[in-house]
Amino acid sequence: MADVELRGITKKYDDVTVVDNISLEVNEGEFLSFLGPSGCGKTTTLRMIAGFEEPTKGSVYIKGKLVNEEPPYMRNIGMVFQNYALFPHKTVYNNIAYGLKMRKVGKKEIKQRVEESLDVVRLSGFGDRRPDQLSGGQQQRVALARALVIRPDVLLLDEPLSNLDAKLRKEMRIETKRIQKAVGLTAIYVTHDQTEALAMSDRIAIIERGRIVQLGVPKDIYEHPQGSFVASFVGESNKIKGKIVAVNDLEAEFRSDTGLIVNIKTDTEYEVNKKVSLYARIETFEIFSTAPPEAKNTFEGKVESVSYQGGNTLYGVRLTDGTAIFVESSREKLFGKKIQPRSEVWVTISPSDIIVL
Amino acid sequence: MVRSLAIEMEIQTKMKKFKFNGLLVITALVYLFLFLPVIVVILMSFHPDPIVSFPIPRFTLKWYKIFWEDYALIQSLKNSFVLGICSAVVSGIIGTLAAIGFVRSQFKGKQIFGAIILSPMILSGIITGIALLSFINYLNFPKSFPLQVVGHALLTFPYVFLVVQTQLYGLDRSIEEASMNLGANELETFFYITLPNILPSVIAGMLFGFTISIDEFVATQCWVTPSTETMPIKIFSMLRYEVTPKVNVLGTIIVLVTITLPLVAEKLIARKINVKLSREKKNK
Amino acid sequence: MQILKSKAIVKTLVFLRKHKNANNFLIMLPSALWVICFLFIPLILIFVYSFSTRGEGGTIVASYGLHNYEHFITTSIYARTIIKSIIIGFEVTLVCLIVGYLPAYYLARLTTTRRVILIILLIVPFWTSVIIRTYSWMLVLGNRGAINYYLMKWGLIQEPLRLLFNEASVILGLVHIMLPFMILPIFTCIDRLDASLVDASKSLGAGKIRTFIEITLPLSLPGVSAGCLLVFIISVGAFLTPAMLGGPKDTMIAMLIQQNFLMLFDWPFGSAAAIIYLILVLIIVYFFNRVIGLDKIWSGR
Repeated sequence: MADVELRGITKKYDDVTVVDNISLEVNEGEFLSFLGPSGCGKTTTLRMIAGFEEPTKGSVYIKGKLVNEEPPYMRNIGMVFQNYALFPHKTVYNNIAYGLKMRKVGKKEIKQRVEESLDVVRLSGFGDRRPDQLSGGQQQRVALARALVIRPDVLLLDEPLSNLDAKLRKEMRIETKRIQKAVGLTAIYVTHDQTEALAMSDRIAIIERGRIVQLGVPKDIYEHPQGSFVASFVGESNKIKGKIVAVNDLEAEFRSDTGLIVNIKTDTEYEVNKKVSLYARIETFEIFSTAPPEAKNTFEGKVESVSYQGGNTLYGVRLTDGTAIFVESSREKLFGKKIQPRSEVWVTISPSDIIVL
Repeated sequence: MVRSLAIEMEIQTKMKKFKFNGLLVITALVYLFLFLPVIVVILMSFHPDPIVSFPIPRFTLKWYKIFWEDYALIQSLKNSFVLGICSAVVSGIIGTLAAIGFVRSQFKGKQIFGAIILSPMILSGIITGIALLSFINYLNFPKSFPLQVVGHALLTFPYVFLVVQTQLYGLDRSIEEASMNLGANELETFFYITLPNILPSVIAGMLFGFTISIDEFVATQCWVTPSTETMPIKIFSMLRYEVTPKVNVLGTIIVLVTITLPLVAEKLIARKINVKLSREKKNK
Repeated sequence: MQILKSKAIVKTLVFLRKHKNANNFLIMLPSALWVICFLFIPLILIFVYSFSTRGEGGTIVASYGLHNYEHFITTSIYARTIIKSIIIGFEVTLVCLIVGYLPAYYLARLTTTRRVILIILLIVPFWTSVIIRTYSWMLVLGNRGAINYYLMKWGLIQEPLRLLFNEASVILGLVHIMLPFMILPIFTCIDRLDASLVDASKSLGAGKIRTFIEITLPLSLPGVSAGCLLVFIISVGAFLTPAMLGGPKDTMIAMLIQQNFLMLFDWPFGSAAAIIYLILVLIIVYFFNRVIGLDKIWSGR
C-alpha cells in the first residue's frame, strides 16, 4: 500500500486549469520530488495533499484513507514551508512543541520529543531562542524539526531551500536527505532546481503545465528524457533539428537542417527521412586542438566565447556548417596553448551520448 | 570660468542648506501652532487669575482644589472613564473581527462594505447621535448607560478596524497554515497564532477608541441623562455659563491622560512580553 | 482552552470550511450588523421623520409632505447654513493643504530618530480632546486672552480686539483640529514613494525644484486627495468648533440639526436638515470618486 496516492487530481480556478489529471503513488519511505518550472502546478498539488486547497476533481489518499474532506489539521502530515512559517511570537522550543500540544501530548513527553527533534537537526540547546535570532539555515532546520516531531505519515516540503545561499543550500540538501533516510519518512519535495531534485530524490515527477510529463528515477530522467520539455529542462543541452538519412539497425545517420552529419544510436528503429531533434548535453563533448583519430562524430569549429566557471569552462563553438553549440570542459589549454576565442578546435561526441527525440 | 563654477556650487550648497533648513523652520512653526494653545491651557491651570497673562505671577493649585471639590465634575470624569473602557472593549472586538473578515475576503461588494464600516467615522457625529436617539425614542427605550456604550462603540470601532487591518495586511498567512497543518483548527489558530501577532494593533486600536470616547461630544449629547453626563458634556455646559479656570484644570487632566495612557500601555505590553518569555524559560 | 477542541466546535468548523466565503462573511457580520442596526436603520426613521410634521410639545405627527424641505430651502437663514458649511469646508481644506503639505514632505524625507519623535508629536494633538483644543483658542483669542493681553500691555491697542466669534476664528480652530488629518495621508503617500524615482530624476539632470514639481508632486496626489477629502467632509459636518468659536452668522449645518433636535424639539425639520446634509456628503463622495477615485485612498492607506 502506497503512503500517498493521487488519483486524477485536477484543480481549476474559474476557467484556468492549474493541475490537470495527476495520478501517482508515493511508496513508503520514498523521497519523491515534483520538479518543474514556476507556475507548473507542483505547489498547488502539494497544497492539495496538505489540505489547503480542495481538488476540483480526483481523490487524495494518505495511507489508504481518502482525505479529500479532511481539513489540514486532521491529516497527520508534516509540512515545511518555503519561508519556514515559524511562529514569531514563540521560542524555538514552543514552535516545535506546538504540534504536540495540539495532540494533547503530556508535558514530560513533549520535552523529551522536542529535545530529540532538536538533536536530529543538530540544534540542541537552541530551544530558548526566537526565530528572529536564527540564521536562515537554522530557521529551516527548526521548521524541519517542527514537522518531524509529530511523527507524521508523510513529510511535505515546499521549496524549503530556495531562500538559502548556494553553499548553504548544498549542505542543507545533504542534511535534509540524511534526516529523511534516518527517520524513514515518506517525503514529497517540491522544487524548480533540477540539481536538487536529481541529487536527493528516489524518484522524480516532472510537471509541466499541470501534468506529469515523466516519472522515474533520476538517472532515467537525465539520460532518457521523454519529450522535448524534459530534455531541455533537465541538464543543459544543445538542440539540433534535422532528419534521419540512413538506418542500420539501432544505429542511424542524422543530417541536420544545416548539413551536419551525426552518427546516433537509437532505441527504436527509425525510418529514413523521419524528422527528429537531437539533444547533446554540453558536458558530453570532448574538445581537441587537432583532428582526433576517431572519425565518427568529429566536428571542426571555431571558438566564439569562453566563460570561466571555476571548476570548468563553457565554450561557445561555431561549427563549420554554421551550427553553434556549447561545450563544457574542464580543459583550459590544449598542448600548452590556452583555448581562446578564434581558436580552431575539434569536438567529438559519442553516439550513445546523444538523445534522440 | 572655473571660479564662477565654484561660486555657483557654493551658492547651491548654501541654498540646499537653506532649503532644508527652511523646511525645518516651516515644519517647526506648524508644530508650534499645533501645540501652543494647549500649552497655554495647561499653564493657565496653575495661574492665579482668569486673565491670560505671562509670565505667571505665582504658581497656584487652588483651581485644582476647587476642581476636586466639585462633585458633579468628578462624577462626569468617572462616567467618561467607565464609558471609555466599556466602549473600547466592545469596539475592540467588533473592529478586530471586521478587520479580519475584510482582509481575508475577496468579494464584489468589498469596497462598499468598507464604506459601511467607515461611515460612522466620516459622517458628522450629530447624524449618529440623532439617528440612535430617534431609534430609541421610537422603540420607547429610555436613555441609559448601555445606550451610550452602543453609540460609542459604533463611533470608535472604525478606528480599531483601520489600525488592525493595517497590521493584518503585513501578516504572513503561512504561519496560520503551519498552525493548521500541525493540528490546530481555525479557532485555535486564531487564538494561539493570529491574535498574539496582531495584539499590538488591537490594543492600540482600543486605546484609540478609549481616547475618542472620552472626548466624544456631538453624538453623546443626544444620549446623556443628568446622571450619566460625560466630561465633554460637562465642559461644554461649563463654558456656556461660567468660564472659570476649573475648565483649565479639567483640560490639563484630559491632556495628561491622553498622552500618558499610550506610553503606559506600551510599557505594560513590553513588560508582559518579558514576563511571558521568562516564564517560558522556567517551563523548560 | 480545551473547549476549542470540542467535537461540536470542530464539526461546525468543518462544515463552515466548505463555504469559505461564508466564513469570512460571518466574521464581518457583527460589525456590519452593528452599523446597519444602529445607524442605517435609524437613518431610515430619520428619513421618514423628515416628511412628518412637528406636533404639540415636540411630538411627531404623521402628516406627511415636503414642507420641511421647502421651509429649509426657501428660508435664507437655513439655506445659508449649508452654503456656509461648504464654504468653510473649502477654506479649511485649502488652508490645511497649504500649511500642511510642506511639513508632510519634510517628515517623509527624514530618516533619523527625529522622524519618529515628530510623528509621535503629530499624533499627540490628534489624541488631545477636541473641546480642549478648541477651548484653548478662546484663551488665546478672547477678550481676556493672550493676544489681547499682550497687545494692550504693549500699548498697541486701547480696547481688546474682537477676535472671537467670527468666521476667521472658526476657520482657525478647524484648521488647528484638521491639520493632522491632512498631514498624515500626504506623509504616508510621499513616504511610500520609491526613493529611487527621485534619484533617477536627479541623475537625468533635473534640479531639485524641477524634480519636486515633475516627480514628487504628482505622485503625492493620492495622499493629497485623501487628505483633502477627509478634511473637507469632516469640516462640513463639524459641530464643536463652530459652536464654540463662531458667531450667530457662522451657524453650520451640524449646529442647525442639533438645535432642532435638542433645543427646539422640531425633529421633523431637524431630520430634513440631516437628510440634506447626508445628500451633500453623498454628492461630495460621488464626485470625488468620479474625478479621482476612491480606490486611490485604499492604496494610500
